[in-house]
Amino acid sequence: MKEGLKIIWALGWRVSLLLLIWQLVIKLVIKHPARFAESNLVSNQIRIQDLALRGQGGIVLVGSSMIARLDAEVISKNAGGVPVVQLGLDGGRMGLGLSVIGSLDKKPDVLILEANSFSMELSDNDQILLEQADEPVFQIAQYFPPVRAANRPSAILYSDLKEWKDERRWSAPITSLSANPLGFKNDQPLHSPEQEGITKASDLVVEQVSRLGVPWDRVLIVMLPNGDRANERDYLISAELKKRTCVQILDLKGHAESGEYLFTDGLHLDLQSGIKASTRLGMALSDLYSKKTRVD
Amino acid sequence: MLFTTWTFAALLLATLVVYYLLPRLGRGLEGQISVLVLSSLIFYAYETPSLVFLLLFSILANAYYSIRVIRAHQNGESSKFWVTSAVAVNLLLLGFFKYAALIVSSVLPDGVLVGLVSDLEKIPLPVGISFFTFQAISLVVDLHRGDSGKMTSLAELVGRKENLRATHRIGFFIAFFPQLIAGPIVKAHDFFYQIVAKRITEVAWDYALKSLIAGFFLKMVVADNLKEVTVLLGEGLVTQRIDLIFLIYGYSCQIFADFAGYSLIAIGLAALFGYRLPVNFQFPYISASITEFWRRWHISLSTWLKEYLYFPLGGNRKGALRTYINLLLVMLLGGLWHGAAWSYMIWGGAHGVFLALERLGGQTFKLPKHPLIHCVKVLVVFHLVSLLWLLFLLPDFDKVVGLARNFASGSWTMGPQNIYTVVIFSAPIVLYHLWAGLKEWRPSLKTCWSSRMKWWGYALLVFCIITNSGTTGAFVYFQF
Repeated sequence: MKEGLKIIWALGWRVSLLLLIWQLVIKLVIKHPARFAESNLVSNQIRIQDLALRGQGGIVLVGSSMIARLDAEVISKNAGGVPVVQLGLDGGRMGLGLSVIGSLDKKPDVLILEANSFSMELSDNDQILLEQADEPVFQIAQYFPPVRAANRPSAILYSDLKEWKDERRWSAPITSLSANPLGFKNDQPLHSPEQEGITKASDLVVEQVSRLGVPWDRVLIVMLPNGDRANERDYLISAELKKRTCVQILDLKGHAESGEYLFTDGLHLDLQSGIKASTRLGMALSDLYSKKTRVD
Repeated sequence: MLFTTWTFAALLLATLVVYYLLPRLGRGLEGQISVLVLSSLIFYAYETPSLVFLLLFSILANAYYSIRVIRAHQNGESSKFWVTSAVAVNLLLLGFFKYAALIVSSVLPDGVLVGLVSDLEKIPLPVGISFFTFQAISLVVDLHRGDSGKMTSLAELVGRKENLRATHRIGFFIAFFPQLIAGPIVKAHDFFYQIVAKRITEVAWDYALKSLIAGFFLKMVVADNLKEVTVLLGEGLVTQRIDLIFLIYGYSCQIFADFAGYSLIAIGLAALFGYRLPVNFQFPYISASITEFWRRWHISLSTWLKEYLYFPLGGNRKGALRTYINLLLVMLLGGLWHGAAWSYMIWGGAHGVFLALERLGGQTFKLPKHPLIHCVKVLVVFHLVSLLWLLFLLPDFDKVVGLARNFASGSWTMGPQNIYTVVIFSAPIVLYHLWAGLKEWRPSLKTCWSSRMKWWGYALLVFCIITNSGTTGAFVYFQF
């Protein structure tokens, strides 16, 4: 027994020291936690934990990996410094993001909904993420930084390598952009053979957003450029929501000039295009809410 | 119940406390066995409580046959009938729960008795059934062979007509929770002599904690993180050739880390209770032949197959042709042991063919002993084994064909995220094998690490477990 305790002690202080050194390295040398991670699951954990650690209020971006390409810092800068939380979840859909906000009991000041992913159904991966938000490790992470996903050594290395590879230039803002006007660019009538499905999907969005208690004039639906995809169903749902609530719509896809946005895989915005879209979104937010939004 | 959950940690702690308090309260060996059997039943019943009845049935049936075999020996009678019946009952149990659907669907023509096939497919596969059935077979066969020199305590109990106590011990041997679900498969003659009252002062803490730390590191840091990307192989969406190659390497490291990790955790847990389980892995990826690979991979299964199947079939004593047939047969059955799908059989069959070819080639060609040739052989074996793992990952043939098609038509570009994950999390496995290879090549190379330095190494592993674990997932071998 004595031998066992001796070994546990020998291990215990060494592990504690390593954890302390790692925290100091993050704070003093690396200076920022990981923004990206080596797997979608860890990337999503980083975003969910980030939301959990923030106070109430601010702007929250909800959607899939498409909205995840927008840069929270660029949006914040263009929206007058309001804190922005990125909750675009890789492989996830809007339903997951809204469920996470609800389960963490957060009430954003402004909710940005990605129109490209209006699905509310949760996949198996979504369920895993939601369950993780209830696990003791997730709760511990709020008080014990070493177990936070953003402080994983592998994620920090990946994040730094990615940013280095992408030659990120924070000091080079896109200045020549003008804000896109709100609303759809083409108000041509859209037809759907499955109006029932559109109504049902809209009902779900209304139900979940209402449950969060965010007023509809504080909800902005953003249609992001996503290559050649038609998004007719998403446009219809957005139109239906617009009809039923006082939600605002920013149609970056409709207003995009040909070749204005570039994609990494035909679907997701590349780095520069992500910054461009973030700038436009930030400017729209500034016009809409900056005077009214509480800054934490 | 998974070893990597908080529920298991609570069960383990409670069991340990009661287990080592009992001798102080005057309840020695029998009390300790009772605690371990009870914890084992809770451990097994946690996910699907009804399956515990199957485990109890296996224990009672094997206890009955074991007692019969011992009595037959004590009365100077033949125990052949009892051992044959016991093996048959065990194989029937395994066959019904694991292979019934496969056998019926393969034997019956398409469209006949579809309802029966679908009903059989709905029968849940009891976790660990392949493992505890093989352990039970080893018990009755060892007793039949008269290998009871190391099992005198069991024979004595039966001799004194203390059948309940004998059943108690057999139940403990079959259900002991560290190795119940995924091995190592313990042979009766390696276990029964260890059943004596244990004291906390006798625990090999150093050995137990090192095994536990290494096991949890392999499972939680290596396997669980690699799993996040190797899962893409099954989805058939990866079309970049370099990614595919890396993901196949990644899966080889994942399956090793997952299974070796489980075995090490089992060994460490058993050591906490004062029991020694056999080593299950010895750096398999530095094998220079498939024969050597099977001496290093899942050693408890390969030695079980050798002792209880290959030798009874005649081994290599009945001529060259019979040896090749025996090798093929043993590996085909070894493959089928893993799962009820033809792909597992083909996987085993392919290994059997390679074993036979190596035996044939070894008698015909003699390659010079040179480090470079040795390295080439190691690389060839690693790639063969890695390609065959695809049949493990994707028991559905169409998916394997789809993967090959993706590779043939894919591009030579790569996705940095997948490659980064494979490189980072496979690195410990590669370094571990390189180090072992180096030590085997130059045995004079000894670690000059002091004990303090070693504990720094283990502390680093714990640091990685705390900061860099993947999401908890079931062990790959649980499905077998």
